[in-house]
Amino acid sequence: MQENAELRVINVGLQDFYEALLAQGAKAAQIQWQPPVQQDEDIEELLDKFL
Amino acid sequence: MKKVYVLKNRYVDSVTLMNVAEKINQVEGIFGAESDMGTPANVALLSDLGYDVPQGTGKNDLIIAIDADPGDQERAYQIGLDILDHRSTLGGNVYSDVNAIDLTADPYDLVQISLPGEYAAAEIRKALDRGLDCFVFSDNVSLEDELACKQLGREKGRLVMGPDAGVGLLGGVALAAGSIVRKGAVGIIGASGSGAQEVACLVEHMGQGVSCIIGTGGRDLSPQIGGITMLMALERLANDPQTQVICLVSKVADPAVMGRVLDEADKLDKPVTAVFLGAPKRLFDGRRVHGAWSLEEAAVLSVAMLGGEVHAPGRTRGQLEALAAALADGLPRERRYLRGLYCGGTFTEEAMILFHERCPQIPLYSNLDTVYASRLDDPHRSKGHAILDLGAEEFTAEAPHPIFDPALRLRRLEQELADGETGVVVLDFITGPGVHADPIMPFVPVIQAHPEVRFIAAICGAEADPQDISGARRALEAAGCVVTDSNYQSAWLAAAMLARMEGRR
Repeated sequence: MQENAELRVINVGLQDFYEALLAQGAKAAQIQWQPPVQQDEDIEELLDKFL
Repeated sequence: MKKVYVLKNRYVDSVTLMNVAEKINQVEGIFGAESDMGTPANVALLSDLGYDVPQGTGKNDLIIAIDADPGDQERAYQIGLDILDHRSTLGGNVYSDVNAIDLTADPYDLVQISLPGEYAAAEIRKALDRGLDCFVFSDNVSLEDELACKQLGREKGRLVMGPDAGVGLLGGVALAAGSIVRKGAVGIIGASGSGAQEVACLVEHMGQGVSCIIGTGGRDLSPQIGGITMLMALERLANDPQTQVICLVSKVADPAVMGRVLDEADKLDKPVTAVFLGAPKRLFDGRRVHGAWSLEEAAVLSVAMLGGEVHAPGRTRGQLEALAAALADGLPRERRYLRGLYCGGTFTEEAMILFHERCPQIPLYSNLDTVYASRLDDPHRSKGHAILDLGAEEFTAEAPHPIFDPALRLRRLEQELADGETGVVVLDFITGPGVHADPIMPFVPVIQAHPEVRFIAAICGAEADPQDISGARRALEAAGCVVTDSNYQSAWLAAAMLARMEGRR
């Protein structure tokens, strides 16, 4: 919606959408997203016990 | 022989995963291949298929499972890895986290999020905290998270488009499954993705263009969310110099929330048009907002508000009626049922509303839970006149959404065509840079091979989309398919055929 400005997009997720942005000539960045590290359930139980 | 490869802590999105499995499956000598994240459900599924997944594989681990002779397994695995590595080294700017970007040196306007729903809210908050708008394609975000994120956005003056926003267009750039519609003066705010896209593409078809499409997500007009995004978007477009006419697009929603949105729209200086598909007939009584009852009508009204001459797209009602008679009269009597195989949720709904209005006495079946049709006992088996939304979860849990991969719908089409009672098939096609590169042409040979069935289709797309919609339209027509100019016209034609077919029984 900025006058004459292309939208500049950070893409978090589907790689296909990132490629679609690049193909349109838009300025785009891709986040190499990784899920948050899983807390081991046993450790969680122990923590619950002691904290 | 079956072998399982596990890559620890490697996240890959679902569309890429399907691409990897598909490519490996095409390799000669491969009996089967699967590519999944190691969630408990996926591990169980792979075990059912006879794969032995190592203990300790978790939801953050990538699994590539291959059934082939031992000599071919390694080669197939390498092909999968090559696809993943190629994709992760594509050009552009790659960052580890939104917070790792120095926005002063390297500015952005918006974060587009399509992670699994459980992870989306954290990324939305991150984006809002950095002063950026969000476009959220992810579904399965909890209502509580949606409300909290939208409230935070409102505090910060930033839009949260979605969750579950399928279509967007801002600054001339198409987001998610949206089309590259020509720039112009109609600003569209849509709680329904395919609905907003249809209005935008029809506006282009009539020689005008759009300033933007702001998707709100389907739950924005629920009592819990209260239309936060739609109200903010209204204010934004009221102040946007490029927008001369505002068009609101939604399915019927909570009466109080619709009322509040229309109250605000009534106060604006700019003309506002609105369609709430399936809304009560008196919704717009006494209002300044110009109400429409179909997506096509919303587009026509919006173009009319810009002034000048309006040429409604496609065939006249008389032409459709004559065409329906010609198509129906040539059908053998035993081919008596209509099957609608849709990929756009709103298109499914719009078609059912119209069938219900025009032929209320004819029973309809659907996989959707709706007042317009009875629910199919088994969504995988049609009966009678059946209208299916193949983008619904019961189908996409097993295969990619039909806008990303036509395979699911092609299989269902073959199934319907094997039923000797199928007489009329209605299809919608959606194009754009973010969807399948060739969503239409795979249907052409199937249509051509079945001259005993009548096919009706509409293409929702823009001329600048990479799929060449004009060429695809010509190919469909050459194969014997009737191509209409809007979903409404497809449904109108099909309903007219239905009335005629029922009448001669």
